[in-house]
Amino acid sequence: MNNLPFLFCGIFLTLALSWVGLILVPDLFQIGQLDRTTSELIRPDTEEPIPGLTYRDDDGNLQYGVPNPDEELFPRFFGGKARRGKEHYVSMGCLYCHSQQVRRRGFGADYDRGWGDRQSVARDYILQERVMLGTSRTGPDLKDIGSRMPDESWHHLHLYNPQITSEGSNMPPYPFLYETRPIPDDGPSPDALSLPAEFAVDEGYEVVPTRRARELVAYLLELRLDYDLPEVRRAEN
Amino acid sequence: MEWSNYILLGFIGGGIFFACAAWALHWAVKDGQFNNLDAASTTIFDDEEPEGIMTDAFPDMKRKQKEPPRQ
Amino acid sequence: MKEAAASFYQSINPKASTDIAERAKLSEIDASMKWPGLLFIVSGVLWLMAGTILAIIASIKMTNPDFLSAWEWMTFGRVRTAHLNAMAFGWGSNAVFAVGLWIMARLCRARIRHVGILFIAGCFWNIAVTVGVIGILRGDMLHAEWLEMPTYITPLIALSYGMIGIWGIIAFRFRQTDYIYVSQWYILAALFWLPWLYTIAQVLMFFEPSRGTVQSLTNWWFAHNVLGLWFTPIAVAAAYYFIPKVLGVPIHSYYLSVIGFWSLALFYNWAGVHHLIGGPIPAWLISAGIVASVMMVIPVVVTAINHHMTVVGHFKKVWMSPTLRFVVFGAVNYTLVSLLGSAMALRSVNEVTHFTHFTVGHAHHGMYAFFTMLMFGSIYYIMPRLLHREWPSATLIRVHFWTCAIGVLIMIVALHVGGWIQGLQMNDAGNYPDFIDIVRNTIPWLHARSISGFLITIGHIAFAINFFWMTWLELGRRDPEGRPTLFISPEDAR
Repeated sequence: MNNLPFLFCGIFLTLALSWVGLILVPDLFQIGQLDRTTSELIRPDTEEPIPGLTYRDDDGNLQYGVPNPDEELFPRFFGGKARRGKEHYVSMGCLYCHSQQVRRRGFGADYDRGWGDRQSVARDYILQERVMLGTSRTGPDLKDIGSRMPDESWHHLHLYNPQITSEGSNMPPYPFLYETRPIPDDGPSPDALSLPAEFAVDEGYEVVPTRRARELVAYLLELRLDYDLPEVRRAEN
Repeated sequence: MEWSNYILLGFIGGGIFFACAAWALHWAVKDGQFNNLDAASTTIFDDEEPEGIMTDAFPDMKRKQKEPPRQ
Repeated sequence: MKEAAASFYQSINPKASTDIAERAKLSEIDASMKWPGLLFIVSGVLWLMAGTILAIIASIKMTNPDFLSAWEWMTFGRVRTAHLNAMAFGWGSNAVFAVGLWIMARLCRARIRHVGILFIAGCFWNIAVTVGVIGILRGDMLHAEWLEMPTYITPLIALSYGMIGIWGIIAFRFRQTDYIYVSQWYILAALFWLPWLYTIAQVLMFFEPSRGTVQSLTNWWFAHNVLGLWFTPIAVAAAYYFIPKVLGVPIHSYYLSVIGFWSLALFYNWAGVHHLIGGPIPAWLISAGIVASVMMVIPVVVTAINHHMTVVGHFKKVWMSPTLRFVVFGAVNYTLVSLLGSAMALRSVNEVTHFTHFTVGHAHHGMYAFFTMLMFGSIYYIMPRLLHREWPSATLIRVHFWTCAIGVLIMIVALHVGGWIQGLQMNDAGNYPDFIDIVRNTIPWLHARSISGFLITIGHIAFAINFFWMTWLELGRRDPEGRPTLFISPEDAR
């Protein structure tokens, strides 16, 4: 082991091997091949719906089903407001305490905690330019938070000060996403937070969400696992 | 592709990889890449910092250690 | 101009070089590394202090969320991330440059060439990291763990790294020894691995984002490899160098070190997927990641045998040497943290530890108890040789060692035990249906972590005082004869 080319080849090949295996192969042949699809696939020849992704044709060969052209494609695109909200989600560092993945039933307790009616699969993430699966659950998973907590005002109270909605939480408050201002002459703003007495601001003032807070909440409300995919269906209960 | 094709592909890839590894090892041994390995372990020493000499110690601890033999 | 270009080319290519390079003495190499070495270590220590302050703030916020909460720059998500990047790219990488290049030059018996370029590149690296960390605090951070520094500094990071790392490789080409030592493989490999990892990760994550969860794979391929193929090899190289060097005995088995190196190179870079166990990626990738994580037992055990067997029988000397205290502490923790890491990759263990503070404890076990302690030890050995000056206070070194060693052990125990309990409760939706109860139960453990953080901070302050006392106040005792070996001269040791 005394020459540079020999060492370099080994150094190069070991890393190349893992790059091909872990990134290139899944990108070219698996995850990179995924597209939006309908909840149920159909046979292209007979247009009958099929269970799952594949079916056996009359000769017994394995064939792929195709999306049903009359139905909605999933996952959905996010609206512009939610997309901007996602930027705030990144910039506030939400992902260090909140994951965005639901593991399969029986592995961990994601399902039992009601964090989603089904596991999340690779196809759920294909439209995202910024994928944040997360590695910590100091707070609960947020993949399906929009279904679990559909109330916009709850999110605003929670972001303004988590102690209002979840006493004892160690989530940081985000007061800088809210504006405390004198109540205008024509009456309080319809968006003003309805704060409980112990968190109330001075008489004559109100707390209203800034644009950033509204966008962030719009993003959280669009985090929903409320559709089926051919490879995974929500539990029926 | 059927699952059996993937297994086949895995076997072929694995076979090629192990063949390459075996060839590289064979070449390296024949070329003398592994000769005299133990000699390399003493290259960290030289005249300024020779083998058998400790080159770093707390000054006070060292004095405690070494004073008796000096007298 | 043409002549200047030609002579520059000769100075970086041994094949074109006409003058016959002489085998440099160790003291000459130390002298050539003086200014770049000092730059990297001084900026490393400054980053260490900055990172420590950020860490303390983040740790307090975990138990007292209202602390500094009104200031957007100081919100938890940003402080924590600024801490990580300041430590990894500020403290860690500066230490890697100083220690890696110094050991490389010494083992090659070749001076580092063009230290001026190296020095300037080092300045740019630190400017880039400063801009990056400020960028994180002001909210420009990116969404990938370990890669949060904003994209506008990516070119500067890449360029300045290139102009730093290249001198290690050029020193290797100019080597004047017949044999290559273990540490040289590790350092050479790390110098090649980092730019490749960084470039691919930047392109596939930010410039041309790949589809869906391929990003997560790329993220963890990078984030785990920056530990495994950048910080770990340098720290292992330092242990391989300083343990036999300070003791004055050759390494236990040179053959084993060959196995250790190649098995690390082969397995470590597949292991990152274990951060995604249970996640929405193909199952075969997770299995591959788990297999690789478990296979890491081979290089770890081999390296452990080599390090620890060299030390056996010399414990008194370990105690007497400031360098070896830290280095051996780091080497022992390398064995522990790696074996624990392999266990954490198993599905049944991961089901409990994943998403909990256990992982955070594990990260500090690796980056602090192993890597940082090893870098402290290396700096205690290198600094007197760069400056020809002793460390001014042995007491401060002892304070540094004890506070940091005890502090990090408290942190590891608190986060591991607390994290394990957290994981068990999270998986038990029947007895712990309310998530908030689990959060509340972690708070005492997080308090313990803050206490350990204060202890470590005391150690860092002791280190910084000793360091800047030695560097700038010139109060450290100068060695009258300017001998290269300080702390103890050969005559004393005989």
